[in-house]
Formats: sequence, C-alpha cells, structure tokens
Amino acid sequence: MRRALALLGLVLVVAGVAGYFAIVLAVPALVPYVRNHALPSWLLVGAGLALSLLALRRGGAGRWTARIALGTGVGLAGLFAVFLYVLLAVPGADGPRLGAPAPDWALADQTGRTVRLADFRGAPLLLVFYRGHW
Amino acid sequence: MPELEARGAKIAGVVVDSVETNAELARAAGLTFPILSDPELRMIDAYGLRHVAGHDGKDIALSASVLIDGDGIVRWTSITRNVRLRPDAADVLAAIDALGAARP
Repeated sequence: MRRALALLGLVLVVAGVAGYFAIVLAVPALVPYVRNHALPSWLLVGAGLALSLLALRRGGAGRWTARIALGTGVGLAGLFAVFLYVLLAVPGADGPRLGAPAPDWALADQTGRTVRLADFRGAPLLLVFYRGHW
Repeated sequence: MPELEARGAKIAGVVVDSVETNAELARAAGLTFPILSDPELRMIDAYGLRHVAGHDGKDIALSASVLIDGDGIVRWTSITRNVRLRPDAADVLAAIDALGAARP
C-alpha cells in the first residue's frame, strides 16, 4: 500500500513533466496555452509529490521505496523548473518607447519587395519580431 | 488574422532570416503578410530587440510584438522574458481596440 502510494506519486510527477512536452510537441492547437501556462503540469507534479510525501509518512514496509520515489520526483520537478524558467529565459529588453514615433526601416519582404513603415500609415500595424525559422 | 483584419490592422513579421527562407516559410505556412528580412539586425536594433548570441552564438531578435498606430506612434509592446512565452491573442486585440478608443 505504501509502495503503491509512493509509486503512484512518482507516476504523477512523470506524467506532469512528460505531458507538458507531449502536448507542446504533438498538439499544436494547444501549444500557445500550454507553453504560456505550465500550470496543469505543475498541478500534476504537485499532487504526485504530495502522494509520495504521504507515503513516506505512513508506517509499514516500503520506507525506501517511498524515499526513492519522493527523491526522484523532487529531482524531476527541479529539472523541469530549471528547463522552464532558467534554460528558456532570455535577457530583458526595453524595446521601443511607448508614445514615441516608431523607428523607420526599409527591408525586403519575402518577395524581395522593399517595405517601409510609411507603407502602413493610416492603419494600426502589429510588428511581430521572432527568433527565426530553424 | 481575421480578427486583425476586422479591426483594419495590418501585420508584419521581422526576423534575421534571408528573403529566401522567409519565402519558403510563407509558402509552407500560407502566410500573406510581409515578413521583413533583417539579417544585419538594423531594424531589430532600432527597436531595441537584439538578443545577443540568442541562437548558436548568433544574434537574433527577441520574441516581441510592437503595435504602431496609424500615425506611426508606438502604442503597445510585449517582449518575452522566456522563449516559450508569447502574448495572448486576446491581449493583442485588446491593445488594438484601445487604439480605436483613444482615437475617435
């Protein structure tokens, strides 16, 4: 019982972490939501850690199973957190000043035609800077 | 996209990639809006959005959205602090709607 509880906890932690990557890689429609909000994954991870902790505090056989399950779960959760919040972090930037005239430019679009800021005058323009297609 | 058009707004992408790469992307993804090629990061620097050594040691643009009104004034920006984060479409549309409210 204690072992089952501990292992169930570890399974939930793994499911939470693996689920994040499975959804981001396999379900494009959900990507914008899941990528911005890893909360469902963290809820699963949290529930898993809680179960493993509960198992550790119970009496009976399986003390080491509970310890290993909890330790592995905490380690996995830590790696997940490092990946999400450290490896994927980028330096901050101020960007263009609000209320100031937007800097002009003259750059080629995908057809080779030169496009300037002035071409968009009279309508709101959303510029989307992105990292690249690689 | 239909939501942007309904508000009379245009969209343009900005990236360090070549015209050829952007042509390929536009074809593959069926994109009809302009994708500006900025390999020397001139526009990206003008907008303060260079990410030094952002990819394989090369400088690229930070992921960012910049909303410019019809008079050429910067009205709203969203600059990511983490590559997985993007602005919600609803936030972008709200910013565009706010432009309309500010200009009767």
